[in-house]
Amino acid sequence: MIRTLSHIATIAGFQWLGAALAQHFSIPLPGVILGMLLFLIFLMLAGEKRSAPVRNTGKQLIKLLPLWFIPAGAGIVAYSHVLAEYGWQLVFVLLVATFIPFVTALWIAGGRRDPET
Amino acid sequence: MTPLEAILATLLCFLAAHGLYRVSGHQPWLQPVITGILFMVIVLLATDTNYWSYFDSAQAIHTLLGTATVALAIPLYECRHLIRQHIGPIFRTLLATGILAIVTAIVLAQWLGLPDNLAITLAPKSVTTPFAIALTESFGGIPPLSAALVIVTGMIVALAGPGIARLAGISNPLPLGLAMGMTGHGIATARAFELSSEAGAFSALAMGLMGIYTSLLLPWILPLFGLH
Repeated sequence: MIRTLSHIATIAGFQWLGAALAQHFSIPLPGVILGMLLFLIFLMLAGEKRSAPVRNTGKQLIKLLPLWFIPAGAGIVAYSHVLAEYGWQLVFVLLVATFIPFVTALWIAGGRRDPET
Repeated sequence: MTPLEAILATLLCFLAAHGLYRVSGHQPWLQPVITGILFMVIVLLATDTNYWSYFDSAQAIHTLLGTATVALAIPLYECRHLIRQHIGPIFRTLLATGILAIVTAIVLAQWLGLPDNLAITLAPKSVTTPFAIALTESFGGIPPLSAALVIVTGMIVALAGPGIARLAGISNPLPLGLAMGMTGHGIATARAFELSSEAGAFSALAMGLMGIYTSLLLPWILPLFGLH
């Protein structure tokens, strides 16, 4: 339990560092994303073996993402008027703007028709 | 709403969502990401609680969303060998798909006359939800709406993606995984893992790279369209 807490404190430390650096140097990147990049560098420096315990705890945090999403996600109730007003436009944009990049990615990464099929 | 009530209600909604998912035999449309939020919405409406009063009291849980987002470096770190092996196709695909996913969303939104804050909210729809929430927060979009749009995008890719790939005659896990992860983030990645563990690993990697790439692109692309 104490070990787990020290791992969470490590990850939260990078979260704080990312936010502090982004604000202090006005970096146009959300603090958590900068924090993630710093944490990635930390993992690479620490190496496979030494980073194993903190990675195990971090994976538990990731598994619980559906829990962490609830406060932000439930905010949809405060914006139901937006959905009522622009619902079909939003669905249209999502469908078309998802289909085009998906097919492009398949095409670029696939290159040719797969000979095995 | 007191912090205790907010945290208790959130935990119960999560546990109920998780339980339902297990009892249903892991039905994709009953994913806890969706049902957990849905249950919380029902609780707020049923108890006539103001959303912002709940959100203020649930700050502790919302803060841990950021911590879990930082932890997303872990899966990225663990599939670094895939980057080394397939660096060419991965970065070619990322370069084009990342720009296209953002630009098509903004162009269509503006063409349909959607207000700026909705265009900004739509721009990062293909990245994983915590990234999208962080990005819409910092660029002036609507974070909770972003969560909903991102989840729907992921479901579109998870449901239609494998069929489109089959029609295109592509079964190789590299293009399939990259396309699913770059456009449909975690929800499509879960689906890709069901198809094959290789496609799933590529999808997980693609989702992480797409999140970073989109975060770096948005501050440059949004001003080009008069946003932000």
